[in-house]
Order: sequence, then C-alpha cells, then structure tokens
Amino acid sequence: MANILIVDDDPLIRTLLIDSLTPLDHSLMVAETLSECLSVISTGKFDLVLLDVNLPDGSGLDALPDIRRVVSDPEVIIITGEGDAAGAKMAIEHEAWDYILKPFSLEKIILSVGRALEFRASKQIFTPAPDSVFDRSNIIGTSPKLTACLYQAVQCAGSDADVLITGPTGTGKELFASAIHQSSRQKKHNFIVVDCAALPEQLVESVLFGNVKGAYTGADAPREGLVKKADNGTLFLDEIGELPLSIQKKFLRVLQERKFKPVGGTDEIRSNFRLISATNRDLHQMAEDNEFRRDLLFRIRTIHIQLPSLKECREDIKPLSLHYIHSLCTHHGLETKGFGPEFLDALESYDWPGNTRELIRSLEQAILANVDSSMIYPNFLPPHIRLHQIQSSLKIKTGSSIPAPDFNSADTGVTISLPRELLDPIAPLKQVKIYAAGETEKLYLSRLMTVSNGDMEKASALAGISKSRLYSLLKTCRTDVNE
Amino acid sequence: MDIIIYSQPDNPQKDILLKTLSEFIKPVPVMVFDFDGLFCQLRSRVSGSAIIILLISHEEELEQLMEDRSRLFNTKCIVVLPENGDDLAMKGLALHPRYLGYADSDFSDICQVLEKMMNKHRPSHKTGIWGFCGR
Repeated sequence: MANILIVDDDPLIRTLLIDSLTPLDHSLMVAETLSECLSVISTGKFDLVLLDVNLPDGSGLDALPDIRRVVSDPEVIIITGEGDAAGAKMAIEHEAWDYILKPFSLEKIILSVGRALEFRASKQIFTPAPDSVFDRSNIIGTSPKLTACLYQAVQCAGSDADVLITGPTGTGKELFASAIHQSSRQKKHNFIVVDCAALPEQLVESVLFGNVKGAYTGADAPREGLVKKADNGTLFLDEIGELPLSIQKKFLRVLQERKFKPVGGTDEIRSNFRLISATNRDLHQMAEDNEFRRDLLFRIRTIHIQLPSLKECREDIKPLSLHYIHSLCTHHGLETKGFGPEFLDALESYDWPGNTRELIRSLEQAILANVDSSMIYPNFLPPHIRLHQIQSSLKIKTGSSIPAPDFNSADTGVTISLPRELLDPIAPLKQVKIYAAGETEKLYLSRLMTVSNGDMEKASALAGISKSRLYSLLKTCRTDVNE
Repeated sequence: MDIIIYSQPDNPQKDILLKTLSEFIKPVPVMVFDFDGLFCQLRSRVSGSAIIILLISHEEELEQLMEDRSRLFNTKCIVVLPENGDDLAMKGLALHPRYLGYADSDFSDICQVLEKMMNKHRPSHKTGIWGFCGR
C-alpha cells in the first residue's frame, strides 16, 4: 500500500482519481491548493504525488523542486490541461515520473501510477537510509536540502558512476567526495585529491599523467602521475573548472579509454579509477563560453549533486556550531565552551556568503577572542556579523530597515524618521533629542563599519575614538535593539 | 597567508628550499623542526590562515603525521618527499596534500604551486577581510 497525495482544484478530477485508485488499496489524501499541498507534504510521508499544474495559488510546476526535496522524496506525476514544451522540460528536469495531459484515460493513470510505485519500490531496495551504511563523517545537519544530497551520495556510493559535486565555495564538496569514497566499493584503495586550482598550467599534465626521465628540463627522474596512483580507487578532481582546455581534451580520452601516455612517453598506461569532480563554477556557462569542453562535462556528470548554501539550511547552523565549537576548542587545547540563545540568534540571522567554511572560521575567531571565558558571546564574533545582527534586529523592530540609506546616491542627505508616539502627543524635547541622537549613532556606526569593511582598527581611526570605545558603542547599540 | 615549513633540523634540503622560496614569495616562512612546534604554530593561528610545507626526511614522519592528522585541522599542505618510492608517495598522498613534490627537484615547482595558492586566498574587495575566495 502506498501513500498518494492528489493535488487538484477540480472536484471532478479529484473524485475521478479517488474512484480509480481506491480499489488498488492505496492510502489517498487530497489537497486543493498549492499551499495545502506543501503544508501536507512536509509533514506526511508520501510515495507519490499526482500534481495539477494550474492551481488557484500558483503553478504546480514551480513547486516541483520543493516537493522533490522533502525527506520522503516522492515520485511525481504531473497532470495538466495545458501542456507545453517548457512545462514538460521543467517536469523532466525535476525528475517527474510522468507528464499526463487532460483529458486522460483512467487506464493511463492507473498504469502510470503502477509503474511509478514499482520504480520507487525498486529504488528503495537499493537506497538504504543515509545513516545506516553511509559514513557521513563530518557532514553535519539534518535539513531537507542536505538530507536530499546525502541520499544522492548514498546512491553514488552504491555505484561506480562518475560524480560531479557542485555548490558555492565552503559548502563541503571535498567532504562529500571523501564520504562517497569511504562508503564505496573503492574504499580499500586510494582516494587521490587533485587540487586543479593549485596547479600551474605547466605542471598539470605531469602531475596527472606523470612523466618519463628527460621529458622536460628538470625531469631528472621518471614520475608516476596521480591518475595511475588512483588505479582501482577514486580520483577526486577538485575545482575541475580550472583545468586548462588542453588538459581537458587529454583527460576526456583517459575517461573514455582508461589509458594514457605519460609526458614524453610512448607506452600507454592503464588506470581504472572512479572519478569524482567538484567545482563552484557554472560549467554549463563555461561550456557556452568555450572555456570548458561540453563533451567532458557530459562525461563527468553521470550523477550530479548540487550542494545547498548554508543560507538555505539555516536549521543546520546550530548542530554545525555545536560540532565545530567542540572540535575547535579541542584543537586549541581549551575546554569546550558553551553559548546562549543570543549567540545562536546572531549566527542564524547572518547569511554566510562563505558558507560552512566561514561559519567555522567565525566560530574560531569567537573562541579565540576570549580564551578564558567558558561561554561565547555575540560580541566575540567578527564585527561584520554583529553588525548584520544589529541591522536585522532593527528591521524586525521597526518593520523596515533602518535606513540602509543609499550613501552613494547624489543626494547624500540621510533622513531620520521620528516615531509618531514622540510627536502625537508631543513628547518633551529632551526625549526627542535622546531618540534622534541614538538613531544618528546607529546610522553612523552602520556606515562606519561598512566603510571600514569591519576592520575595528580602521573604524576607530576614522571615527576618532578608541577601539574600546567603539566596541562599547556597538555593544550599546545592540543592547538597545534587543530591548 | 602565512607559510610554515616543517623539516627535521638536520635536513640539508631545508636551506635550499628556504633560499628558493625567498626569491619567489614575500612573507618569510616560519620554520619548525618538530611536530609539537608545528601544532603549536597551527594552534596560534586561525585555521586556514597558513599553508604548511612538510619537508619529509623519513617514512616514519609521514606515519606519525597520519596519526595526528586531525591536528592539522584541514590546513592546506604541500608534501615534499625525499625520494620517488611508491609506498612513500601513497603515504604522502594520504594526507591529501594540494601538491606532492620531491626533494631532488630545484623546488621551482613548489614555488609555483605556493604562489598560485597564495593568489587564490588573497583577500579581495568583494570577499572582505575574511579571505574567502568567492568567484
């Protein structure tokens, strides 16, 4: 028995589908709108979703990525009255099982549902839960997006297919690659890391393929390349987008034939390796711009894992912080420190453009800011993160960003609004002055920290005050906000 | 970005490496002669703010480093091996270095790799003072 969610605003279609599927002994639920669908699907455990496209509150196709990302990862059959090529393309890109046009025959629906559920059952036999056999090592977090990536990694570990891992910088691409290797058939053999971004163009070929003695000036001895060292194991090409075009061509041949010639050599060498590549660059765009070979791109992305940014997985910030505070304190020979809710608020309100790597580094800076303290406080964090929290709190408090004024516009004036309660009834002048001075100070500090790029030294010099005074002002500013 | 060189005190290659590096790289590397010194240097810095060059003399050094690998805490490293042996190379590669070089070279390859790594981690206006290399 499968759990099926029917999402359609047309009562006739819903009744028709319920009548056809009930005899098959499935558990059926219905949703009439997109929001109802998303709310139900996030809490239930569905195997299949029959999804209408034109719903009263939006397009089912737009919600397809969100539906596919929920933990139960249901199969989806699109049912639409207005089929078009773009919609079909989007459905296929998000791995919808079928794309059925209305009016449809009941036989077609029953057949499609049957096949989708058969496929799901076979998939589940080969897809154990991520934690059961997969060594997730330091991959911390339980957010739906990360969990979806872990499920993909489990699939990768169970096959020999080449894998492409993409995602913004600092999201843990190497960690995923290593975890896939550790849980794969190749785990008893080598995991060879090649950092393509660290290799100058003139060295790449000999590093990858090796060289014979005398192949070039300075090649005093024959060297085995990393491709050969990865024989029977995994070759991890980090930042593959940095691989020079001339090497891309040679590497494509290696992938096709699993043999290559070392630099200056004539004999071919065999190597049977599993390839995992990673990049934070848009390889499709690079292929469009003739900076990356399209044929190589198609060859390396048999399975593609797109890692989410930390901003998309805010619920993972707490477990990540707990894990890394412990590791970092151990690394620095300190007792593990604790933190309170206000510290977590500061972390969770920030967007982390450098992702987990930036989070780890900021935690380390906070730990080292006061090694004697058993607790980590928000004011131990780097100034730009504290400033962001202040600004976010102000947005919440006033309902709009204070001010975030455009200092670069031709009109360099910045206006401070007085709240109505100070003017109606009219408040004493002293009270208005205090309010205006406080707001001016906040605006000034915001601009000061932006201009000085978070550098306290530079900021205090620009403001003509001591660093400790600046710290104190920033702290007061934050306290005001939290009141 | 700081550079830390680990070498046994009696390894003659360290002086050649240091001299070659000084012609290519601006910051003067910090030299350490034992693992305690190396880990002490790493502890005194925010992780990721240094690149380590491990000038290896003996296989045992690599084995000891593998045992203490977690103490390197994801610091990027370049491993320089004394010879081109298969076993030794595999042990060196197990540290997942950014580059594996050999001490019988003129170290110009190490300098080129180091220069590229340092350029990559140079803070830019866009990335702020924290040194993340967003592209």
